[in-house]
Amino acid sequence: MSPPPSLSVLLPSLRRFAAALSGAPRGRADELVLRAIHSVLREPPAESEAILCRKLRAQLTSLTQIRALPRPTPGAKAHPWEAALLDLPVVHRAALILVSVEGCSYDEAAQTLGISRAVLMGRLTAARHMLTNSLQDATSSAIHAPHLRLVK
Amino acid sequence: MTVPRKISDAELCAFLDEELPPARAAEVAAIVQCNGEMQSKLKIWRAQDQWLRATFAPLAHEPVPDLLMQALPTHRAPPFPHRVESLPALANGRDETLKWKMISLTLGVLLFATVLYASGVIPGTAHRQTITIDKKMDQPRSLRGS
Repeated sequence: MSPPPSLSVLLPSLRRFAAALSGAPRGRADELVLRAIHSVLREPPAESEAILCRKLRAQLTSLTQIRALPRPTPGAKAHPWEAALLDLPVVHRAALILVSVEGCSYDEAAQTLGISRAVLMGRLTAARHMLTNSLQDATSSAIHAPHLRLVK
Repeated sequence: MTVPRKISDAELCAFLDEELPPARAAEVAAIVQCNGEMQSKLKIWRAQDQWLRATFAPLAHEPVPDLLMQALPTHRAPPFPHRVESLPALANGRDETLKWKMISLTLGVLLFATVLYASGVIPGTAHRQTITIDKKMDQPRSLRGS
């Protein structure tokens, strides 16, 4: 027996959201998706696919907040934003990913996270500032790093 | 001449994400054109968005692993009742199972109590037997007395 059709349709974007939000390897992110699905299906049935998707994303956000997954070690060629993104508080990260990656409107993203539009805008701005600052820090440390020497 | 309203960073973000009403978006666009600081902020934020999309968007095109598909709940009630005609049947099926579980549990308890009663383990039944014996013993005595 195959899973309900709506879940199969939502799975690719849910996996992407889980991976981006948790920063965890694919297997762990899939585990999160599965947990979110199981807990959402325990509730009364969603009225539409959009509502189901919103519930699942909200569940994934709270699961990521609760379960601190091991952070992957960024490779040598990793972008400074990769580490900076994982340094953001989960709720800020979720706001940024929902809007920038998932293409949600502000209202949709605010509903998903259970916050007002104004709070979402505040979190989004803070997240963008934090990423900008991290890149500036990385750039300045890269510039100054060659001048550092180990002194015994 | 009207003085243009100040633009907060949150509003600048909303401008970037095309979330401002058209009239305000036009105002902001005009102000941004003359403001180098805002232009550089927007440039960095756009670059962040492009990086985020380039990094994570391809994940949605990856095939979903079979293990995940197999692990999905299939026996539970699906999320959209109107899409599956057999949903009431599923619900009735669950009710029937519960009913039979309750009946078998009650029968089990009754059977257990009967066995205890028959074997005299229940204190009440043992006491009644003692009284019967005592009555038999007392009868001659009471006859003697009368």
